[in-house]
Amino acid sequence: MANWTIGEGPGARLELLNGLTAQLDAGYLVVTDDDVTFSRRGLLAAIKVAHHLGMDLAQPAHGPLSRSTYEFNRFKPGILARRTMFVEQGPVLILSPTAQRTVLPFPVVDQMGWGVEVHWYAAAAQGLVLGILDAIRMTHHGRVGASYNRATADRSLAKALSSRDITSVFQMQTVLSVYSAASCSLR
Amino acid sequence: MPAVRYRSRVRERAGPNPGDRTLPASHLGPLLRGAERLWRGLPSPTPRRLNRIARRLRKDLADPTPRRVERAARLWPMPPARIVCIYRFSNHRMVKKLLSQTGLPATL
Repeated sequence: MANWTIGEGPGARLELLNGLTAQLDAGYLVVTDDDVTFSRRGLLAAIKVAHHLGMDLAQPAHGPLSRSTYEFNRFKPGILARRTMFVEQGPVLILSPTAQRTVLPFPVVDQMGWGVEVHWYAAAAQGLVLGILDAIRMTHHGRVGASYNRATADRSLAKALSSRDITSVFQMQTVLSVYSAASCSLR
Repeated sequence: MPAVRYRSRVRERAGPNPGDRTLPASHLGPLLRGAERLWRGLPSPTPRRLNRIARRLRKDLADPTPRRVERAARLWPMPPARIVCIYRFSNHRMVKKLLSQTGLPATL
C-alpha cells in the first residue's frame, strides 16, 4: 500500500478526495471508503456492469448485513440495476469519464460530504446517468456517523436541500427504470 | 436404485457448482460481530430488527443474480479504472484486501 499512498494527514473528506483526484487521468474512477468489502470479483464486476449499462455515476447496492443510511440503496433481489435520480456519496462510488468532467471537483458542502447528492440530483436532471447496481453487493462495516458529528452532517444536508427547493431527501430517491437480469442475456 | 436417483436430483438442484451456495465471506464479519455481542451480553438487536436482517439474508442467499452477473461480467471488457481511497490506518487491512482482489492501480 505504501507504493500507492501519496499523502497523509487530517482534512475534510471531500477536500482530501479533490486533492487525490485533481491530477488523475484514469478511465473510470472508483472512490471508496476504507471499511467496505466485496465478494472476490465484486468490485471489478461493478465497474464492468457500470460500463456495460452506460452509467456515469454508479454505486453497488448495500448487502443484507451492510450498514447503510438509506434503505433505498439496499439491494433489490432479482434485478441487475436501477437507474435512479439519487446516489449516495459513499461508501463506494464509480465515476465514468463523463461524470468526472461534470461532478469533479466535489463541492465541499460538509466535512464528510453530506448534501453533495443534491448537486448530483440536479446533474441527473440534466442528463447524467445515475444508478444503483443491485446485483453487486457490498458490505459496509463502519457504523454510519461514528467518526463525525451526525447533527452537523444533517444540518449540511438540510441546507443543501433547501438551496434547491427540495423538501426531503426521499424526494430525490426516485427510480427511473430497472435493468432486469434478462435484459443483459445472463445465463 | 432410489438412493442414487435422489442424489443426482440433489446435485441438479444445486446447479453446476454447489460451492456457490455457501455463505459469502463478506457476510462473516458482521455475523461474528453480532454473535460476539450476544455472547458478551451487550445490548443486542430487537427481535424485529433480527427478523428484518434474517429476511434480507434469506433473500440475498436465494438470489442467483449476483453469481450470474459475476459469471457474465468475466467476458465483458474491463475499462481502464483506478481506485481512490482515503484510509485510516486502523482499516488498512480492508483496503489492502480490496486492492489485492482487484489488482487495479490506486491513489491513497
